Amino acid sequence: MKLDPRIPGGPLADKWTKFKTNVPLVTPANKRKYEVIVVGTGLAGASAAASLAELGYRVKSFCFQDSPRRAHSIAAQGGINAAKNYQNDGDSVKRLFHDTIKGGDFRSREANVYRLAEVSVNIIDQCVAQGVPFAREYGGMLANRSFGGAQVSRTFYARGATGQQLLLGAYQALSRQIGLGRVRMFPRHEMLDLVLDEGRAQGIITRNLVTGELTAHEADAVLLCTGGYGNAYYLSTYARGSNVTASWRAHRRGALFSNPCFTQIHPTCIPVSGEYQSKLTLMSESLRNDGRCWVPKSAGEKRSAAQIPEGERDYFLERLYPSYGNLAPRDIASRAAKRVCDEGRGVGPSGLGVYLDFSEAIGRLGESTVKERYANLFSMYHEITGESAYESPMRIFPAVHYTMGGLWVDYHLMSNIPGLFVLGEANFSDHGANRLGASALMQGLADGYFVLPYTIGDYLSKQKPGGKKTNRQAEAFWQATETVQARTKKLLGIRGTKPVSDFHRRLGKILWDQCGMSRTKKGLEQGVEEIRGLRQEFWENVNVPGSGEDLNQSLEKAGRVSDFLELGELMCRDALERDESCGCHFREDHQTAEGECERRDEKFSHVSAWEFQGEGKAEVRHAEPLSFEEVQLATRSYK
Amino acid sequence: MKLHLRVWRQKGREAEGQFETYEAKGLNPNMSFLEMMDVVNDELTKEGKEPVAFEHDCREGICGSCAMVINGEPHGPNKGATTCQVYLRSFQDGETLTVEPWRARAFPVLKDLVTDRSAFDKVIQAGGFVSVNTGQAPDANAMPIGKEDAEKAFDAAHCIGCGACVAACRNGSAMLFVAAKVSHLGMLPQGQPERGERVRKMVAAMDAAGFGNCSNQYACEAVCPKEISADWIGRMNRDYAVSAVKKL
Amino acid sequence: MLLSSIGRKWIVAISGLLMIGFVVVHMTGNLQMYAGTPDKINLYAHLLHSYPIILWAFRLGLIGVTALHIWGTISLARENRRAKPLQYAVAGRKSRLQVTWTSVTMVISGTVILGFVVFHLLHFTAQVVDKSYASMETAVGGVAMHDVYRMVIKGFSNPWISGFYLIAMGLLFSHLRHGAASVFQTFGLRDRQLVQVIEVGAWILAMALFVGFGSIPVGVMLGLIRP
Repeated sequence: MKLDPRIPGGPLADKWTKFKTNVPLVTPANKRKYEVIVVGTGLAGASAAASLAELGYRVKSFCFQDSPRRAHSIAAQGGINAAKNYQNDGDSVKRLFHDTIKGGDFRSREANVYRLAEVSVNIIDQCVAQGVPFAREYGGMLANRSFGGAQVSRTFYARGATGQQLLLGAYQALSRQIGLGRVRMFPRHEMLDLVLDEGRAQGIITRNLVTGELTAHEADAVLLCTGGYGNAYYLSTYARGSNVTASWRAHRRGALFSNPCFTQIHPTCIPVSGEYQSKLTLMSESLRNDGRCWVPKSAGEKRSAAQIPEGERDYFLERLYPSYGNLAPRDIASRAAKRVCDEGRGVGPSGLGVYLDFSEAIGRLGESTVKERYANLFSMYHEITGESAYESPMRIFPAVHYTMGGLWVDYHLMSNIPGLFVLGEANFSDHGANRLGASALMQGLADGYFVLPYTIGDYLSKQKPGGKKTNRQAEAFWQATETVQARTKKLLGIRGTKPVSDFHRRLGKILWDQCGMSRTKKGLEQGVEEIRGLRQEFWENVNVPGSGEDLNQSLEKAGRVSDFLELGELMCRDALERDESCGCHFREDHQTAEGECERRDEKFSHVSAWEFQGEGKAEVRHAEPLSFEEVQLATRSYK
Repeated sequence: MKLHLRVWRQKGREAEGQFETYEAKGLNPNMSFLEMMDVVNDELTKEGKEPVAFEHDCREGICGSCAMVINGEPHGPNKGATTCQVYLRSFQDGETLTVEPWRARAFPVLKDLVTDRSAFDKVIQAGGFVSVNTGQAPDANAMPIGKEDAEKAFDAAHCIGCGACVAACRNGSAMLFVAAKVSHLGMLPQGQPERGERVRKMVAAMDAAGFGNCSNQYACEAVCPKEISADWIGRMNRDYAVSAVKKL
Repeated sequence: MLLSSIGRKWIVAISGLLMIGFVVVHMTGNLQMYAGTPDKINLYAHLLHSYPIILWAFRLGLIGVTALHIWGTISLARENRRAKPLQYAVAGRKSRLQVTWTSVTMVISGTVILGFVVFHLLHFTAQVVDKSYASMETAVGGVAMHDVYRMVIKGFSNPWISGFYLIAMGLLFSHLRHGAASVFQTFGLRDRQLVQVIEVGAWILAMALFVGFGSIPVGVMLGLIRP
């Protein structure tokens, strides 16, 4: 299969402008004839739905939560990047672009990333106009802070709840359109299948999570803005409801899945405290602006943090990466933390933890300034652990946080299925093999506010709007509904002995061990085998109580975990086939003498794109080669 | 550690509900309350019974999904915390806990501990926004906003829409929720053009949704996981009056 | 907009504030019982009655304000009850929910006060409870007038009446403690920095009214105020 990314010609810096000037338009009178389905109401989904409705399209918006405001974008803490250069510290679109490409270890598409950096400045303008209360300086100007992988201050933030404020901005814009009747909102609806007709996306099948009713929704285009799949690992910083189902069901209908093994493990999360744990909590990367990571110099240290004298502490990030120090990118920092723990120098009861120490910052800035910057994070830490980070250092450990992989899309954000667009974390496009901090919010909003509203015109202008359903189309919707019904019935019919959570937890453990921060050929092969076995056991022995005709959370979970069980295998296979190390993907057999990633550009400077072949059949791997015109491929160094 | 639970079970919106009791054993004080509910649900599933339906999502206190009344207190015993941020170390070993859904006419129970809070969305749809289309915005620094005003606006904007204010209010009033949004936007220069219209429309939507009225007891403020001040309610009362007078 | 939830709250607050104004003036007038001479209060009462048009306009106004207050609160309270059809099986701790007794008993205290006001009017204004009041006459500086001083003493010599009066004043204290503070919230003048001041201020006002009004029957019963 030839994958055409449809990147416009011309110099990198002009591509997007050129695209915008040349893209075919849909006239205002015609826009209202087109119906667009938007699945998901996070930053990407809410911003896209609102913007499309403002343009005049008819929009149907879906989310599985009880309200569009609950999408997990809400939990992003630290901030959003934009190349505003308000700090006069040398930032520019080109520098943000470059940082992002390098941060992603040269495994993302130049044109997409450049566009992202370009529109980043509009995002901040838009959000401020909506009333997002970003942090300000005393003079009334916007404040910035630094984030990992950058040497400038370009991160805009709203205390420790930037995601919340940005999402509420988008939610408000969406609510306005709902109130005006231009968006029809379907909360508590889960997309369970994609409907195609002659290879084009024509609609979706949803389940009403309260009544169990399955409904077919038709449209001229379908947008998936359904987030990432990190919950495959069971323990992660994701919301418990975050899932891959919409993407995966689209994948089963032919949408290619790219780079599934690229999963971000965030260095600063609160360590696991026991078997019962259901979720890991992130401590924002912004803490590394002032917090210093360290472990004892010698293994088997028994003393408490306060008893260890300065000379016996190893500030390992500052030692290993002197120019970026504690603000080394996430993949690098996580691996460094893992390494020191593997050496037996980890702290805390499990030995899986490192200190994040604020005593120096408190001494330098005073406790009140530290409090002003991070109070909500410190109190979150206190609630969970019962410890005060003002008195003793935090203990942190890496945890699954984001997935760079996702459905394959071209420059238009359209998947290989015409009419199916994928936005935000659900697509693979902008972050390569590692995402820099404060870039996820940027991408979600860029896609929804400023990219898709243009690119969708190109597709729709070539389509005849809506019209009457043909018999053939009706048949496609009916068939898809049947498929969903059969799957639901099957899940409810097993009545085995084990709850869904049991399988999910075991899948998570396999993925964490074999497809986590460090990967080996043998381990990944074993992972594939184990997941296959687990999947078989699931379909024989899972217990899903209740019926399909009412609110049944066990059924919802079972459906989602059944998809994770298929995706998990693909993640391992993708990691297995990518026989190199890059970004988050660290293959032990490809490392430098210092233990850093060793890329193999000659063989793997490409995006993998997996094609579903049918139940139980091995997926086929395609590749989209990456060509770099602007940046020089180099070994990523943060030393 | 062990706890006795009395949990509200209700099959559906129209069904009669009742309490059922469960024993939660082998607990760890560092477990979160919701993790304990996970354990209870897994046990119920193994016994072939239907687990307790309850809402939860981010489990870090920001999405506003979780909503349990524990011993008559929305979000449980701790100040400034959501249900998901309650840990078992807040309870005594062997304690009996009564767990109920939010109670308010505007929030009907859908099943067990799950209620329908879409009335909040309707209030926002009525006017809880700044009418600015994508692409219309001027440069972000074109309009300076004092640090203090920005911070105050954030305080109000931090509302997570969980509905604990309504649940705690003896009158099932949504004034704190509505006031928080009215004030968040009303504090900022961007929100000024629609300030009067916004408060009128949002209050009308709030009244239509079947919420009760404020009788200035401030239980809302006491249980708010984001500790949003009831002063915003006063500010909304004033905004509303000013807007109504101007309208005349 | 006047009929919206907030509109009616404004009506309740403004009418409440006007009634607070009335009771403060009323109490100040009553304190003339301590003037040492009956003449003071009798002259005052005589003055009030000498312009019947103003008097009746004032009375009708006050009745109107009271009616608005009652209508507003009843309609709001009915909606409140409807909005919360089911209370919790277990009541939360008062400390956690910030509940005060005075705030949750506003309807009860208000109703009893209303009942008292009706009785009070029949008692001292219409003078139908004890017909002998009507014939109590005195003269100050040669002007014949009603002897209010004696009427009050006689009225409060009845322990049942004094008891009821004191209970009603106790409830007025409770009602105003919450009500007076609430006015600030409805007017949008409450503020975190001012909360303490408002709460204490409302308490002082309510207590002053209680002591001021209550001291008269107590004084009469203890024989401190004598004919």
